[in-house]
Amino acid sequence: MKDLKVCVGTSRQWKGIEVAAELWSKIKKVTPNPKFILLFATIDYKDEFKDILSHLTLEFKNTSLVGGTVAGFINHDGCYTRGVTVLAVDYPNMDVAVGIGNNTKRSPEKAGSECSKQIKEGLKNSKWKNGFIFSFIAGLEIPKMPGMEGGVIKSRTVTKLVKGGMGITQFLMQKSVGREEDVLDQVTRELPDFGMIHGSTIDNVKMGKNYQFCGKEILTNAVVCLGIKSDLNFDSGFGNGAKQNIKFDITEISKNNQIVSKINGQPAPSEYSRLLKKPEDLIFDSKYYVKRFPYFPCGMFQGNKLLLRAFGLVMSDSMMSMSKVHKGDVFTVSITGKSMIESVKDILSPMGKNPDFGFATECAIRLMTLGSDIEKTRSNMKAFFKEKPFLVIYVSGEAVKKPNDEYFYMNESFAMTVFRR
Amino acid sequence: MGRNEEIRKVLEDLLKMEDVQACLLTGRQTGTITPGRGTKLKNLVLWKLIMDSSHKFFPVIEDFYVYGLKRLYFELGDYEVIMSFLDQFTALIVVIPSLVNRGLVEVEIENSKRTIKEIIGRQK
Repeated sequence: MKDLKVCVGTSRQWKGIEVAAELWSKIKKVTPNPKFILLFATIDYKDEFKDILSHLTLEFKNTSLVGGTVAGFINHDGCYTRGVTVLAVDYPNMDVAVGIGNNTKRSPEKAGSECSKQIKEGLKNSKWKNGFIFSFIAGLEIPKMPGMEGGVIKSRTVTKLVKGGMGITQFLMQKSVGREEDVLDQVTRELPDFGMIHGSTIDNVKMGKNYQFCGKEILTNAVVCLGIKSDLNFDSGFGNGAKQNIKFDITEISKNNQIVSKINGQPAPSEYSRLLKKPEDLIFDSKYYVKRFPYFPCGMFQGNKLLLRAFGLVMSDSMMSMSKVHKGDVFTVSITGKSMIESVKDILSPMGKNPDFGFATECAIRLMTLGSDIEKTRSNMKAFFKEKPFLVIYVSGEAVKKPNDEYFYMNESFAMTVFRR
Repeated sequence: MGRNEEIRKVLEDLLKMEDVQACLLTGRQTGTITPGRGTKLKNLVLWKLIMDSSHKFFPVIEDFYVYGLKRLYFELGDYEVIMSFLDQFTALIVVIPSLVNRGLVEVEIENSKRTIKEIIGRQK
């Protein structure tokens, strides 16, 4: 059996050069010549990205490096919402290629297509049959406008301004919804036989600005993918811990399928609160909404899988979902902190034994909700992986795909891929 | 580096988080330890009040600690105060804006608590 070396390391130093030195020494010890490095940092390190990436890429000249900003991460070292983490892999039976696409919020299809073409080209001579993509795309960025505090806009005038403004900022400043699904539609269309795990980059859930990394490049509004072809086997799964409740119809929605104006023919916010059997003033209270909205996502089915959509912004006459709401039956759902934690066990249990390493993308909303209880997620991961390395990153949207299958794009969920020889 | 200096460094790291407006460690054995750079709170009178009065909670905390009291949260105008207990005599107090979600901060509060416990444990 060929030697697979995997290193997951953490640095909590503050200076970029010290972070790079610490990570370098950890990687070098376990994986002297890694084929690829995935690197994730919290937004606290914004001014240090340049130093971290330039020093690491200088030390690992022949290694592909991709990654981006995350809200936090979990690995064997602990649970963190401040720090930098890496997953480095060294394996002889593997070829690696990197793809980048720019302007994901303005031209997502083009970005996805450019990115996947680079991967296709980079791996065209590979003799290995199992293809897999690690995808990272710029997530939602909300332009700062007065009256938007707390994720609730009660004023009709501000609502009009925001709705109109979103279109303008989307095109001019590329500050708006992430359009990750439009990017992934292209990537998965062009690389259908690849498996995939995806995470949308995010800051500290302020939704101000997020970054993607490729080599020493620090990007915004980009898709960066790492494609591998190898003889490694992988198994993917996902879940959320939610249960469907009341079915309803979305009767008016924006062209991008994200701003829901009418539910059951009624203005969306009031009808949604009626369905939830909660007073509108209570759930859409601007002071508490940011703390409560994780408990009120809607759910929809893709095949037999229940996918969640969280309403990150509530306006006077509409609600903005963090990603596309598909046509068809939509449900209110119930979800608790306990069911979120239990769902991780449920995802891991059918994954089989003896994993070599694992990588997961989990929604930052779950991190916001569970707080320090994410330690329980870590315990579940440790119980499954034992001494084998794993990394969970907290992102603003997550997706998984099996080869020659459709992909599932989610919010408030946990997506996982286990790799084994 | 002495015990209090090590703890001060942990508090300074915590204070660097965007949402953390102020933090301090208070306890019977440790006294009150604050980060070197003080506080991000603009209302210094409030900061002084928190520093001076936090120990007054302990008689109540000691009663409830045996029943599993881990944290106390209270809203104070535009702020939320999180008291997180290392034991019944020592608390890490963190002030954040009331509008922010506390989940991310709580993860680092736990990490800080763990490190401080290690520092105190080493000195015993």
